[in-house]
Amino acid sequence: MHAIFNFFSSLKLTVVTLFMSLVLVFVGTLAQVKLGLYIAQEKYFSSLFVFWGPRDSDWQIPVWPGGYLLGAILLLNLVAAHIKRFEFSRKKFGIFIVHAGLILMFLGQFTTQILQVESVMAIPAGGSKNYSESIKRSELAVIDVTDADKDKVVSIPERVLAKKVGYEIRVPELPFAIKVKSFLLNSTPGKFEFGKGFQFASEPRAIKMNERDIPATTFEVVADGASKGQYTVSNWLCEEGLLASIQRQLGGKLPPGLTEPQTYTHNGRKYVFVMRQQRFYKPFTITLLKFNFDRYLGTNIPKNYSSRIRIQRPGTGEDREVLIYMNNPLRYWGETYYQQSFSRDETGTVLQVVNNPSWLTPYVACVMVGLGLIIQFLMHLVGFAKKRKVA
Amino acid sequence: MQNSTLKINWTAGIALAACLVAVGCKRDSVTSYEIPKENYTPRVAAIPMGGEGADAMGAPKIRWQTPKGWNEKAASNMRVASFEIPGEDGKSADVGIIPLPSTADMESGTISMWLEDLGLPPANATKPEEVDAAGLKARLYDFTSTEPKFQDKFKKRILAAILPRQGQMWFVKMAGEESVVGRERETFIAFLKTLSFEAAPQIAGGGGGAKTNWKAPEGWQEVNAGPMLKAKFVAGEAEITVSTAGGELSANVNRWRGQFGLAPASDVDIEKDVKTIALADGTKAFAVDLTGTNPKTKRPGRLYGLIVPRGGETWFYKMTGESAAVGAQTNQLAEFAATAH
Repeated sequence: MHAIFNFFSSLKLTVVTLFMSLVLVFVGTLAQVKLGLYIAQEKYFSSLFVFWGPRDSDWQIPVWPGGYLLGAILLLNLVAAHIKRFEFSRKKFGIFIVHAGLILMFLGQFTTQILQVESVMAIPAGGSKNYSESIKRSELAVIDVTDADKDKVVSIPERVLAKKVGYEIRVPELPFAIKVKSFLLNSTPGKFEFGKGFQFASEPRAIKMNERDIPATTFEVVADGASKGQYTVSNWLCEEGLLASIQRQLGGKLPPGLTEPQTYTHNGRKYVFVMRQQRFYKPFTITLLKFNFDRYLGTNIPKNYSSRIRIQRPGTGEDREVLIYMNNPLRYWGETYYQQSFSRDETGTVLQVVNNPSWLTPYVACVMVGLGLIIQFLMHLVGFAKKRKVA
Repeated sequence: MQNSTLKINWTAGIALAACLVAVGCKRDSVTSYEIPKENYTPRVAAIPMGGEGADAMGAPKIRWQTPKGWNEKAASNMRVASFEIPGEDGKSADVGIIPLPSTADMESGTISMWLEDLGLPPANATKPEEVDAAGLKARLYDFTSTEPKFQDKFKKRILAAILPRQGQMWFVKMAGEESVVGRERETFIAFLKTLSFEAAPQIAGGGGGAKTNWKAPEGWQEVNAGPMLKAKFVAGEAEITVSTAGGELSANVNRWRGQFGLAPASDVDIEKDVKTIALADGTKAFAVDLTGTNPKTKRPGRLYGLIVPRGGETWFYKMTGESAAVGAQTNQLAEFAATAH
């Protein structure tokens, strides 16, 4: 145990880890040119190891520690060194607070990375939403629409679909299994056949900031040990913007039935299959009353974007209006709603929704570090002034 | 004592990390919940085809009659229509139709931009002239630069009509060398009168859409067209399809190149490869001739296609098949394209 403790509290480990972090940041930054921000971030920084493998091969080996591992080692190193070397005394009180602030900053960033969920809420003029949608991740929603007043949703995230190709997904809420036949992380609609729908083709992953992957999956419904039918679903078929894009490619017309959701009935209960951006439902509804895009007079230069919204929460009876504008987000229900964008016709709004339980930690950590430095500086200053007086 | 503190620290640290990872991983697990009743059929509005800007804005379709001497170009970017007017000694003018959302200062902002482009002070904004356009009243602005702003040799002139209609502003702008714009001024005003709006078409609901009385050349046999096609014919070993779509010329040529297993070409290469021909009815058409692998037969084949921008729509006449069979029908395709629209 002592050997491990000595290892983690050593200064050599600090130097080596910092050097490795330096290399990681350098390589990871360069990789963004080819991979784009999100993929590079996942591969180099939001990972325990950076993997490498020959092109077009299935195997990969870890070649460098990833951001999570280096961050964890640095944190352990800092805590262990603190325990080993630090003696608590009045004289070192400031340094103690500075170190505690740094540790809090590390932990805060780690929890943000793990727990933060970013999504968007796009509301047309006069429209209402009670959910936000993930920017990057999709889900297969299996929805029991039998009841007259409510729908029961089973959400299967895209990562689960990707891992389960060739296998069955069974959940207690569904009386049947979903056997994933294929999953395309990014796709394009290819050939269309009546009765079969689109055949989706694989596309390289989206790397530009203004692009995103549009997945497609084909699965079988398996019940009582037999296949009950094959379904192909994709965001292409349920998102209005993407359908409009297909519509343009087809010369303004969509094949009949293409926009109808695919359904399956089991023991009198009807299920709908939809592939869509992952949704995060709220216990309240936001209605867009008015979106304003102000420009400087006589120019097209944007001056301000603002959304007047109405929050209605049946559970608490809350019903109020809020104005969200640039740098003035709404903090509500543990989430922050920022003014992010707007619809092409400039009547609808797009709000960015950030759920970060540890959003306060960087503020507290910065105050601690600042306070610690002030205390330490003042103690030295007072000590120096006293000595000078005596002399 | 130190050991026991250490032990607690390690245990607490590992427990905290495990909790965080467990909560984090929950994002990637199957979840279930209940929600109020929803509708899962996406609303897809009928969109007009033609210029890219028109469908993006959900704007109604606009039609026009191309004046003599104006060369119609493929619509691009925000333009629903684009024309080029050649002049002497490299002088020219360019005409574009752009719909934009109507906002309080859209007009003043755009005029400021034009004045800046011409190097004129903002105070130069004059009262517009009122002209007829699409059966409505439009405001006509006419500005000329004092400095040589066209190719840095000639004065530049902007003649533009702004037509507010149903929450949108249609900008019809002619910009170019001063004398060319001056020469075409009356033609431009007459052109504005020929503009007409059409209500957005409804989705036909399958099938290839209403087909007019087309006369297929001799030897062509009409066959059942797919859902995306207006018509389909077979002529010996060659197959001919007719469709309409949006998008820029380069995107459509590259779409065809992709179908024939060819790598996408740059805009410059496409401009070099695509020939401009005049159809029998005087309409300009872009002729594309590609050889590659026919996706149907997986054998070497040829694609000869005509892309025809016509009154707010782009028509595609595509002929594919074995090289000699396609070569034998190119003239017939051009004749057919002149009548079939």
